[in-house]
Amino acid sequence: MRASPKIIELQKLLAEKYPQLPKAAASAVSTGAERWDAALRGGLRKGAVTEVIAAQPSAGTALLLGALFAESAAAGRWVALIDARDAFDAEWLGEEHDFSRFLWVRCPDAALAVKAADLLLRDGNIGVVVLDLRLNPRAQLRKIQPQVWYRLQRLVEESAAVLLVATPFRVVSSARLQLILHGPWTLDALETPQSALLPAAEFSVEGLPTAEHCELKAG
Amino acid sequence: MFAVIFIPDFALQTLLRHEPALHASPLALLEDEPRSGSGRDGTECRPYPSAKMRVLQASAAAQTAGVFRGMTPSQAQARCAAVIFRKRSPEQERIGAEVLLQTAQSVSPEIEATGEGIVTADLRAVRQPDWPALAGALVENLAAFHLRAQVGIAESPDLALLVAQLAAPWRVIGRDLTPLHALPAKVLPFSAQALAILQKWGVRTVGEFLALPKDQLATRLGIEAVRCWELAANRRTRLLRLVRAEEVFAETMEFEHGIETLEPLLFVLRRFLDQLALRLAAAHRVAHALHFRLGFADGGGHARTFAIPSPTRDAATLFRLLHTSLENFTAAAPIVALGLRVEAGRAVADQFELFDHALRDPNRFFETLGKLTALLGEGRVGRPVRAPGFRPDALAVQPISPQEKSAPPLLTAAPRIGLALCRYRPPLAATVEVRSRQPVHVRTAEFTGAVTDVRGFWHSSGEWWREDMWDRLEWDVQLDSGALCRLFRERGAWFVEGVYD
Repeated sequence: MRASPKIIELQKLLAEKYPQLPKAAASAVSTGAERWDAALRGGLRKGAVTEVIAAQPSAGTALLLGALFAESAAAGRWVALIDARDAFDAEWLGEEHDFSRFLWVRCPDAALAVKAADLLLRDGNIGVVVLDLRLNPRAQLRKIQPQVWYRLQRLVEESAAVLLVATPFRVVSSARLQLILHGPWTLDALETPQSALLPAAEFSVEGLPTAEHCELKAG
Repeated sequence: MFAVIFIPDFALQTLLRHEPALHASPLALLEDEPRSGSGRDGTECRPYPSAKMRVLQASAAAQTAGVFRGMTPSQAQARCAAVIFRKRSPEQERIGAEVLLQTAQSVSPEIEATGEGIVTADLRAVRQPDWPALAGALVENLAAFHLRAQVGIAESPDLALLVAQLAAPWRVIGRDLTPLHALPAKVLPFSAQALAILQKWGVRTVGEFLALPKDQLATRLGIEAVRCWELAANRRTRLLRLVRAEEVFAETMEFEHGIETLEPLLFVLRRFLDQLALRLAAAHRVAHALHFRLGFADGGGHARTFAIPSPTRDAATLFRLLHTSLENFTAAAPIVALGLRVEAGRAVADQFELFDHALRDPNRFFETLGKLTALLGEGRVGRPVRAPGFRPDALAVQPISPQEKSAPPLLTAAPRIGLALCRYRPPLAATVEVRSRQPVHVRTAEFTGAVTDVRGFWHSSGEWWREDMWDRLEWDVQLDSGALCRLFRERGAWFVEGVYD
């Protein structure tokens, strides 16, 4: 289905009036796992918000975060983890994990975590910002206004950073991509190396640009 | 050639550096009148500061209103009811003298602190000079520090001083002294008696004075007239007593009324930083650290040092750093004194590694860390570190320091096992139903579920010699919702330590 001429005209008008918005995603940051990168068509988009939704409890979000942290540490890239319920267990990453470019921001609730994300994205120094809202009560997450997510989206576009938001359900209205983890895992998974768990992870991706979108963008 | 920078009413001008709005106001600078007297036994007492004060210097507006040096405050107020009094500040004069020396040193390494508000620079080593441009630049540079300077350039130090005192705001006298001849004779440093005699002789200009024979002047008016004659004829020269400007970049201020809010403090700080940035630029230095000091009305004080992650002399960057740190600052008493000293050094040029993702703007990064700390509190922002020992969840946050050098990244990462535990801090209190020594149902304030699978228990204990020792049994369980949890039992109570995800 082709877009109507009126929509195309409106897009052109907006592009003329606001030439800086939206910026095309410059490139992507590897998640550290080929399977995820292939599903995301190159990795996590710079200048875009990606939401990781754990559709069920213990869906395996750590598989993605662990791979991303390890990849970023190996690449010498700064990563900020905004821990919205102060739940992060750094020991799991191992004693040998390189934390020299890792920033842990311990927040008591989701509202402060969003403010912290705002500050870090405005800063522009951090390449990958992870906002972990998995354990926060649903009521806290529902209180976050949609415009907050659009503001974060604009900040991400300006800084060309990666913003990854881990949530227990669909929360981020401005997410360009949604990665839905299906799990669940059994207790056996707790004793299995991640390298063996990664190929077995079940997930789906929503929001990838279709061929039609690409055509419109190119036009 | 020699250049003399002369700051008229130096004490008054240095005091007004941070209050330029008062330049147009009638202002009188007061100082204690030192008195010496005799004791009852006839022995001479040492001079002591008297409560009686005298006007030392007066602004142009105050002089227009009839306030002059030597008046008592009541006399000055009788002449001008709106006159504003300020007490002389030796500290501000010291800082003003530093500014003056640093400015002079920017044109010549050979400088002399000739007097209060007077600096002489030896310019004989200057190649292809453009004297008017140089004099104009000196006046402009000092104007940036709110100092109104007069600059004189001449072939001898004393003549340059004479020219500087006559300049408006700068004047250059070369080998041709003719421009001096038309000036009144009183510009030369005669005593009143000698000047009166010259006037009786009908000598009214410098040119007429120079026409008199030098040896006859010596006979009739003494050595004083000879010195003036040599000065006007450019026959007198001397060696400079050279000094080096100290690389001290500091500003201080004492407030007449205590400051109780942040805005006025920030206003003064910004002004300090603007001035210090100019001084750093003149000395080709950058700030490596800021030493900040506050004095309180109750006699207390507060001092803090701010390391600059990426040394700079950009006033806006330095101001943001201070502003962020002061946002949550509170004091028990009003602020009556403020001091700011810059630890200056050479600019450091960083060469990043080819694949190094270094911070784009380290100053901004540490400013953001400051804002995050202000938002979340101390110990909430940094990198995770393991505390010594084996206590569960013994993690702490290590603040990221501006001084630390980034280590090269490790190219290999340790293999990770299983899923990560998302911890409840503190652990969730739970009610657990147990059958055959194994949990079968878990209920907490946040979730409830039947246990479908279980591993454990594992015994963990330690630090038995401390009151807060731990001794617990742990289970990994899967609930009917699919959630994988870690339970533990300690001192008879059950807790959920976290959820694996």
